[in-house]
Amino acid sequence: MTSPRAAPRTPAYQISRGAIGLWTLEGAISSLFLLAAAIVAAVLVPSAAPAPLRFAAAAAPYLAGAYAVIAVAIRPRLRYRVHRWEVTEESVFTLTGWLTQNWTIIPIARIQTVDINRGAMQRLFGLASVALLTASSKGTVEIVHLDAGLAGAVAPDLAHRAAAIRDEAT
Amino acid sequence: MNAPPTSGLTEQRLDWRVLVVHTVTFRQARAILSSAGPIAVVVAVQGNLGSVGLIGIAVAATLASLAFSVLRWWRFSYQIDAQRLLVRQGLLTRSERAVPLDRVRGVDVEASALHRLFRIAVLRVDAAAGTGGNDEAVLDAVSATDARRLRELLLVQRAVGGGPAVAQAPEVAVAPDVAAERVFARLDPRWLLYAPLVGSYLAVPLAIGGTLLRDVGSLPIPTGLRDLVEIPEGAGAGRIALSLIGALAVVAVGALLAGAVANWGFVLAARGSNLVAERGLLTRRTVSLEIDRIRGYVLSQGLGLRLVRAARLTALVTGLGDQNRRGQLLPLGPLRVAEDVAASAVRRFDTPLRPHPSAALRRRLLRAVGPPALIAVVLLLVDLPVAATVAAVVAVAGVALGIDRYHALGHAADAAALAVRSGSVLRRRVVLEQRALVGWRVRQSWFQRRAGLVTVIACVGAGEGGYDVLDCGTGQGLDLVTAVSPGWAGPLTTH
Repeated sequence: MTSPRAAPRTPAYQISRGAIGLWTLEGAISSLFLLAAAIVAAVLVPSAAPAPLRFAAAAAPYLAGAYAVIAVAIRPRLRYRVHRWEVTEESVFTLTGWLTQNWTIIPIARIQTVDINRGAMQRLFGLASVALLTASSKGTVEIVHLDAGLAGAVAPDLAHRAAAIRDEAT
Repeated sequence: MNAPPTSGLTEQRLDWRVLVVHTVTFRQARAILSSAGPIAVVVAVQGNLGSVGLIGIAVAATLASLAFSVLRWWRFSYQIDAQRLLVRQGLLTRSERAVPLDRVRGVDVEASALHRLFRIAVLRVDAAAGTGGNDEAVLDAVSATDARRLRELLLVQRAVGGGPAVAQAPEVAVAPDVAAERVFARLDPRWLLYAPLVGSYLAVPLAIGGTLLRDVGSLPIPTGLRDLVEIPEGAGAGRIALSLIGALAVVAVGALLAGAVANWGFVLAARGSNLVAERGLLTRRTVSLEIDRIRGYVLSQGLGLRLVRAARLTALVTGLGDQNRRGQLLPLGPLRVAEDVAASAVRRFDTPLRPHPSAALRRRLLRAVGPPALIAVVLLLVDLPVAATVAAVVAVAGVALGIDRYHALGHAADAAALAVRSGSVLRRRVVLEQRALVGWRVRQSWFQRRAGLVTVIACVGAGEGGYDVLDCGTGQGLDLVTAVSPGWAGPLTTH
């Protein structure tokens, strides 16, 4: 029996630090778009518009600015800290999420396909994601933003081990 | 036995009697006539063709339908050899579909009232496609005897892995193990009385009634009957109550009929390596499930069925499309019977369920009472007292709902399976075999973390893909995971 206050274990490894750079860049891009939209809104709303609308338009650039600070300076580091993963002898184990945490564990024997995904932005930072699919739509695991080299080693290894011990009982 | 492997069934046409069925139902001609039909009607009306003209149009349409049916029948053929079922069809663009016999997941036989009149049936062969999805080959239609024979042949071949038995032609395929039949359930007609308590059966008379009411003004209903249906203005409470009771009775009878049409003569039996379910009053449907692929069951009770201690039973089968309809093991019946069928046809699970911690009760109550209470307060603030009262009543009812939802929560594991229960308006008890699990997910929101709760999701390659153990204690949840999957799920808990 585990104690009632027990928590699931935290997987051993963190993802690549390059993820921070990628998320910062993504945050900066979305912030720029948001800021541009907010400024356009602030300029375009006529002074004759109803008071709540004028107030919202005036506040929009400040809100967009606050979002930019969070998206560029805070969120990437926070995200980096909450993504963890581990491959053990029999299973793949991940933890994601901050307010709502999700621990997922799947047996290597039940992995059906192993995908490596490298988006254009990921390539810029030398990153790759590994997606592991099982027979269940809810039993899918994605390890995001690993070093491309590491992903290139982990994925074939998992695919090889899955093929060797595949269990078709699902 | 020494016959060459290609000498299985020779290439065959469908049964010719289907031509009659397809002609009168405009099966093939429907698409074309649906665009040509209105034009013909306009021509008939504008041109003052009279009854002779109308009959002429009707005859022409029927002949066209017959022509389409014949063309399709002529260009459609099927064949079973040692490895596969081959279906060739198409007039100009020929298509050939090959279904490998070892990929056949199920064979369904369906016969509408019209098909039954001509003693023919539609054969549906469900196969797992290479892409992971499902593929279907439909033979519409073959003679009823051929349907039975082909079904046994396809299922037996699948079981023996497409061996040389095919060479002996279909007659032999009705093998001795087919005769070995064990009946698990037979629908007692009295159970149809539960039908008015099931939403899907109630929906049938309500939908029909809705359509009728919309057009009630234009329908040629005799005045006597109309007086019975319509409530005169200024009617007393007694008259209104009488009408309401009458309407309820009509809806109940309608639901009962809907239940009877769908489920009349339901029989669930094991034949060889399959569970075979047969049912239907007008359209008779036979569905087969491979026993080796059954991974558990769902026992579900809507609020109405719970009140009378009745339930429905569905099997969880890997790789089965349309699970809710095709996986039915008992469409309606007393809870005790449904439990017996589950225990004998799928597996026995007797371990009592563990209740969830009282923190889960607080969460259920907050979820059930919170939103309507909040709405009531807002409505009061904007000065809508009547609506606020309604919201307040809903909030009070939420207390009962929350408590009931909490009492539904429970989970347990035995040596080879786990069970999960939840839900109030729709209560479900899911039993899953250990080997069905392809993963575990533990989810914990910020509020759950403070309450020491988690939601554990058992991921399976059947049914909905995952089943939630809602709001169990963190320790309880981890115990469940390690008890069910002690090997590979170990890393979740061991440090």
